[in-house]
Amino acid sequence: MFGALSSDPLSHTVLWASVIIAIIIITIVIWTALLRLQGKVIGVHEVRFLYRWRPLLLETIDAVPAHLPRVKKPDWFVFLALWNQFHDSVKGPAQHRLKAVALRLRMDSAARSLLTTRDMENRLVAVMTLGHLGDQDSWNILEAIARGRTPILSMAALRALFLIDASRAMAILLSSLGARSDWPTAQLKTILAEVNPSTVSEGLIQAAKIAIPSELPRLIALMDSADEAVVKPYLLRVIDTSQDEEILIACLKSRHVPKDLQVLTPFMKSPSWQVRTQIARVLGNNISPGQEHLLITLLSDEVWWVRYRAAQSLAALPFFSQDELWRLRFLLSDQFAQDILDQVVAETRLK
Amino acid sequence: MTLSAIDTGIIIASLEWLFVGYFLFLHGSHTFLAAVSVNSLRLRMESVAVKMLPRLSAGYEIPVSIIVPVSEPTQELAPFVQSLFGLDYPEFEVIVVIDTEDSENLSQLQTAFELVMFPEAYWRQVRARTVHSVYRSPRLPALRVLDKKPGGPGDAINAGINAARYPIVCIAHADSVLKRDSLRRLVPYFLEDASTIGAGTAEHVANGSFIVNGFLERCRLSGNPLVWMQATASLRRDLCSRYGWAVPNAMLTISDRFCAFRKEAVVQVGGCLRSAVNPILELVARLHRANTVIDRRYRIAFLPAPVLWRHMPSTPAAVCRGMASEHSGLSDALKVNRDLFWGRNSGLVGRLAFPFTKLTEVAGPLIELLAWTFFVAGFALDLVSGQHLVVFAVCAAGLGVLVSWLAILIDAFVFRTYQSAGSYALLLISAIFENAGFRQLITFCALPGLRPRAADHAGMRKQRPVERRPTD
Repeated sequence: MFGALSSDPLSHTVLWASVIIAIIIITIVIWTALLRLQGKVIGVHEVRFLYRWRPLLLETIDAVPAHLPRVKKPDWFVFLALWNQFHDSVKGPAQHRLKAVALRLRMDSAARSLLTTRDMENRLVAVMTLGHLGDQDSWNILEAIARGRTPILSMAALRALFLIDASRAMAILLSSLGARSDWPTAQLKTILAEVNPSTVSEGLIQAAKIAIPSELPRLIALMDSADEAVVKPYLLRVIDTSQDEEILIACLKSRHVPKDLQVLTPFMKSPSWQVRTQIARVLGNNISPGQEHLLITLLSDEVWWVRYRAAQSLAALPFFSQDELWRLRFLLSDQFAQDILDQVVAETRLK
Repeated sequence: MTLSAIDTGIIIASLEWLFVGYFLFLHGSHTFLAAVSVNSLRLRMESVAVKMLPRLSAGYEIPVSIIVPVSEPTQELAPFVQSLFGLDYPEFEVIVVIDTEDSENLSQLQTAFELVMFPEAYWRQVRARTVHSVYRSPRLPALRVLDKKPGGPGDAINAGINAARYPIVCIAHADSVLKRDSLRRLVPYFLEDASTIGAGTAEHVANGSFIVNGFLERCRLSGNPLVWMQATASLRRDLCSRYGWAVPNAMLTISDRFCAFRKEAVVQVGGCLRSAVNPILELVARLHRANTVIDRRYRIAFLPAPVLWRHMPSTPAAVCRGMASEHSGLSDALKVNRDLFWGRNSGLVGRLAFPFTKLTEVAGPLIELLAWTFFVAGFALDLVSGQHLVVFAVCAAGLGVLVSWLAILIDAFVFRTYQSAGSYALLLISAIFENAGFRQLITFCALPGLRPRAADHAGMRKQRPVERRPTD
């Protein structure tokens, strides 16, 4: 039969092509079966490892155990994930004891080694560990990761750098900020909130002075973590001189900008609706009884968002009841103002 | 031998080589694609111990807007929406878009969630038909229901995108079945790589599985052989094609039942094409096109792990309708985005994945039908030898069975979608019938998809999304 097949070119081609495809398929199947087997064996071992180490780390919170078993290379990831979980759940001396345990087990070099792997989770746990250990030797590689493109890794590495040396990390943050639109400002603020305000204040001011306008709003947002005494004069100067709506909005959002009416009311006539929207929000938190007319004026703004924020601010005023809001709705002659109050009243009732 | 006899012999031999060559190419490519993806499967195997530890990415998650477009009466809508609120994810909202004339879907939701009409103003970022009213639930503040003028699935998704507040939009169809961690497993692609603009998942068969509170608890096969064969075909498509193409970022087909996109990227290309037969398939192709043209780095990822199930049709007529619909959706998506084929900077997706998909998935059913007809009729008319008929059958069906077995065994060893070995045994057996009978029969269903679409779509097809530059 094979003779007949090999003499016919079509059959011959199909036969050999099929054999090659079948060999590839069998190889893939064996490979995946081995992966499965390996995964199963590793899984059982890792669960045993966790049950062994959880009580030991729990004990470390009170005192470093006299005897600590060696952590072998295949267990580094699970150990470090568990160790980081414990480190994040405790404070003060317990953290120092956990750090002592990790250093005794040479987990600093283990983490440095995991950093060189391709696996994202391995690298993430390594970055977190090195940050918690304050590992100066890893500075360069952490800096490279922080400047890398993977959002989650770069944020984690930046946090680690701040935990190691906040002043040097600040320089890296400021030099990269313009190019890193993928770094969420809220997460950057969280990182800076863990740092001494005096460490970040001067750097932010200097960076803001030479920054291009598009970078300034973010820097102003980060100034929330800085010393008020240092940044307030700068912010007041910016709010007085800048015409850029993004910069003005950032200033109005800043907790270091005083919210008195003298500063705020000129912006109610800003040509930018985004600025007027922000003013509507800020006024809501800062006006006193008798000054509601400022917000009521904004209810007739030509832009929906300004009207909406003004209505929300009115509804949230502690001295302006729901009944008064409802009465106001019928007193207003402007249809847009009535509509927006309808929506906000409905929202308030939902809550 | 006369000249005409020589001509006929050459034509017959050429056709034999052509059709056999097609099947060798098809099965060889699927094997190659499985080999391409198998290396990354290692990274997807999560150990038991890792599941016992807190997630390392906790705190870095991106909030998600889940859009549920409803373009036809759906009895299971309220339970599905309710189940979404059981998803294990820190921050998300659910936007149900009612895109039907009848009020059945809306009244179902009104009863289930005590909806109240809400005077919400609406920001149009992409084109969509008028939203009549927005409803909110006092019980579930993260739920909004949009009741809009019917405009098709693409229009419904666009309306949802306009209402979405979060940077990632996830499209979830009401007939899909998820697991509690489905969203948590899909979204990390956006965290791991800032250039990720879309992510799709493998689609599994829900018929016969245990579903508790809307979530899949235990995957099992039903007793219907039609379902087994669809499960086999589904595994093959996901693991031997989609995943293989996703590794080099050239995946063109994606399940529209559960997928996620970066909202900004979707808005930049003008949202879904409202006239598209399958708006998600069309969107994926257009995202490739729009990003390759401007040579921007982007990624559309694929999650091979089982996080999505759907109830497959269980009667021959319904299977046929489903096949025709899938085929016409893909055919339409590739036709609308034909500029992707060898387009500027189109790379692997335009130069390899596009023609491959067009050849094997759009023209494939017709080629397969012609091939089988040629060999069987040729044998009956004594134009094709018995040996060549057998060789062809081995090549077309035999190799097909091997590739299907490969997909089933990869799933069994890596993902364990089905807990019982019996289910996998059934799938292995059904792969034989799927490749030798079922597959050939359903090719007939795909043929209407090759014809121009119905007149009622003709007018809508003239609408094209406004392609804006990213700086707009």
